[in-house]
Amino acid sequence: MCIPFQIRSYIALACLLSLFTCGCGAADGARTTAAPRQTQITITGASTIAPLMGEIGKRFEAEHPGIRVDVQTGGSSRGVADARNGLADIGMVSRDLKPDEADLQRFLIARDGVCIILHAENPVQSLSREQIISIYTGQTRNWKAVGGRDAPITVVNKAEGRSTLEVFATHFKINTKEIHADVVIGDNEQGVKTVAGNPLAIGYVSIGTAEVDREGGVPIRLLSLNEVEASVKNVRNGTFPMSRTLNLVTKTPPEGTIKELIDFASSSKVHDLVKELSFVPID
Amino acid sequence: MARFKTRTDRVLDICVWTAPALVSGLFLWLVGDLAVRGCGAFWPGESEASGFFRLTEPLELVIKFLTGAPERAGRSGGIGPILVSTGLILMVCMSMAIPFGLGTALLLSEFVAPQNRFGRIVRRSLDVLAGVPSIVFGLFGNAVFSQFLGLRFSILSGGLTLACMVLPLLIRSTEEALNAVCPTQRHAATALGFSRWATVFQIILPQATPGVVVGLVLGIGRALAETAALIFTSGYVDRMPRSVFDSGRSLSIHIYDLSMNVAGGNQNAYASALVLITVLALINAATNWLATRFLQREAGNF
Amino acid sequence: MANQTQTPVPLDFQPLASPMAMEHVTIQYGNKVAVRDVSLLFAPKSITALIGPSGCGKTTLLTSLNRLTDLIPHCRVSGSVRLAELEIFDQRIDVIELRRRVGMIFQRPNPFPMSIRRNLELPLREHGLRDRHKLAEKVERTLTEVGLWTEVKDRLDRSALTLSGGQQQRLCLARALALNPEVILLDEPCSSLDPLSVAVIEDLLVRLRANCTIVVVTHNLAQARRIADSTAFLWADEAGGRLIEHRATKALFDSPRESLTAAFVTGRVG
Repeated sequence: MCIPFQIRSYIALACLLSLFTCGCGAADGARTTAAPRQTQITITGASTIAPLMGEIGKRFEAEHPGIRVDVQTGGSSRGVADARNGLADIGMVSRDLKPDEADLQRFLIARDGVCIILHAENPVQSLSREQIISIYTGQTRNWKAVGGRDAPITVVNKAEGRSTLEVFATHFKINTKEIHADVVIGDNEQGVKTVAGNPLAIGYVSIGTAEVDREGGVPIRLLSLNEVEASVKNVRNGTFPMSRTLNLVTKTPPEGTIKELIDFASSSKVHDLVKELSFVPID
Repeated sequence: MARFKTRTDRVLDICVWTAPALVSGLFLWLVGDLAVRGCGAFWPGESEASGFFRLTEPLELVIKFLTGAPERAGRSGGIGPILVSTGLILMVCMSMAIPFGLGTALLLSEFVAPQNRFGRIVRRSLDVLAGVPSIVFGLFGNAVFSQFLGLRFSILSGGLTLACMVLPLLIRSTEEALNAVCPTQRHAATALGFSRWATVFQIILPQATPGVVVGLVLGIGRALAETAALIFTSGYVDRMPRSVFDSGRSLSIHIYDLSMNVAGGNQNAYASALVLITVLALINAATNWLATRFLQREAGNF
Repeated sequence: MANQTQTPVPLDFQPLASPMAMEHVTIQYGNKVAVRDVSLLFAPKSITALIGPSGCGKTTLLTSLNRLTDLIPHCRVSGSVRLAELEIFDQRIDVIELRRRVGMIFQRPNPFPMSIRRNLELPLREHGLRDRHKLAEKVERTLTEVGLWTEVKDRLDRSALTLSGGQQQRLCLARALALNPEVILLDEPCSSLDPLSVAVIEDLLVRLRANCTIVVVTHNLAQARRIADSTAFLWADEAGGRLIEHRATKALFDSPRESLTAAFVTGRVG
């Protein structure tokens, strides 16, 4: 049977691809026998922490040649589960540990605080928890109802899936589907810009970003929550309520390289990385 | 009556023309928006270079972006390692999916009667599989390839997961293409004393090639666009992979991460999305070109 | 008309024009009987025409002669069909060789969507002829036989689909002839062709008769009269198609024994 051109190309393609795959496999086999396994540290968990941990890992690799830090994501619960069953050396958890997770070792590496912002010219100085919930669920639509001018409220919300939205919704116990938004924005900078450009807007962003911008002269006001001033200082000392902790967890007390990495991640050597991702470094 | 009819006709005309206009308008808007925002990454800022050098700067920036490693969690730097990982994932995926897909499609269309119980069950389950959300494939891939087979987070495990996901699509489209070949061709070949396999390989499959290629392009498209199935399998590591056993971040995961988890990552997210769309368009054009070339080679010049 | 000025070329092969015979053949699709208890002899070196109204099982009967019925799911053939001494529905026989010996031409021309040359070479290669030289020679001979050589010799590498309907049908005939068949089955080979092409094909069949056993299904009574040595008339009722009468063509048309045949050939029924 003679084989037509197309079939030959199908076969050639398949052969080429499998050869390539095998080649890669063989190359890898050579590598793994040469280098021992424990030089690779696998970290899984919260997608909020993953970009930060990736950067920390790269800096750590630069200081410790021969070590690889692989960061994977999948959510806080996955971080807990993988750390427990040994799939990961370290788990990332972007919340406080639950009582049934007390068996794990926890290491705080940063905090994430979110604050409500208004335009600087807005006469409203503070809002109660109930007022904020009622504004965001669309029950209050006019600033007059909360002591401001007679003008409609522009509600600025974050896009679904953003971690800031998660912190906000968790704090106020609002179902994200019930939020009645006039403007949906992506990242913090965009949020600050939107509120700064509209005296009738209300929004929420990472405290780190908001504080820097206000000090840089952007016309926004950071609202206090439960009488606690919205500032990086109060997030750092843990008193500001709308905030969360960013943690690393391990199953057993860390040793060797893993301990070094965890110490490194909570040291001042990475504060610039933490700030850059709008998180608040710890002391 | 006639007047009423012409009026209806006119309204229908408008409807018929509006729908495609809206669709293509939407598409152009999307691509245009992406291009404008994405190109921003390649537009030189207030730089010290002037005159002639400014003209070559965007090109240099594009090359830098395509080859460089991501820096500052992807907000600056390029997508070099991510492109390599994406290519490897796609290659693993296709090297598994093409032989298995072709084989199964051939079995279904040539060797299993349409009313056959076994064939019906296989087809039904393939249709169900094609509709399964990709996150389910991600969890399956993580459980089977990453954990059970011990591939951990690796390009291999991601590629295999994608292969499982693309297979139903590939099989069904290939089967359709094989069935679409005129039955008189099969009769002609059989009456000339072609064996069953010879009929399939010499007559049916070559004629089905355009349909197979369409399925392939769709499969590649789905694989390239995938995030949920890959995040648990090929992983998140944005380093240059040393082999398919390393974890590697795909382009779509990179875009997702930049736009969702990295503050200030929008600019590069758009630029990466522009690259993804361009790659898709290029693959589409290349496969089309190859398919027409094959066909002309067989059918001669018209 | 270019073909008629061409001198008829002698065939390059002398196949054993084997007779085919069917005895008590019944063909069923599932529970539906298509043809019931037909016995027919197809004499060597002659043309047998099968006529009858639509749905009387002519085509079914024809396809059973090279076991193309195998392709149809749930199709059952009982009775005996023999090519010379070979019982063709015997499971042990080489079906591929059977189909080489019994070629078939379909109602609609069905060349493969490839070049003219490849259309002819592919079946030959399938049956083991690899020598490039012999292949080229064979292509030229068979194309000459069907009167297509002068028309296509300059464009052998063009797609066969660029040919006209009549040319395509002759190419299909050439493709079958290239395999040196002993029997040629034709299923209404002219029904989709223009009158000129019909004349060419008919002329060709008459020449081929010298070496082959030819069975042709036709709707066209005049065609049967023109070319067939003997004609079989089939008729269908609720119990399926059956053979009414099989005689020399002239006898069947001029002095039919059965009144049904008389009614059919004079156009009163069917």
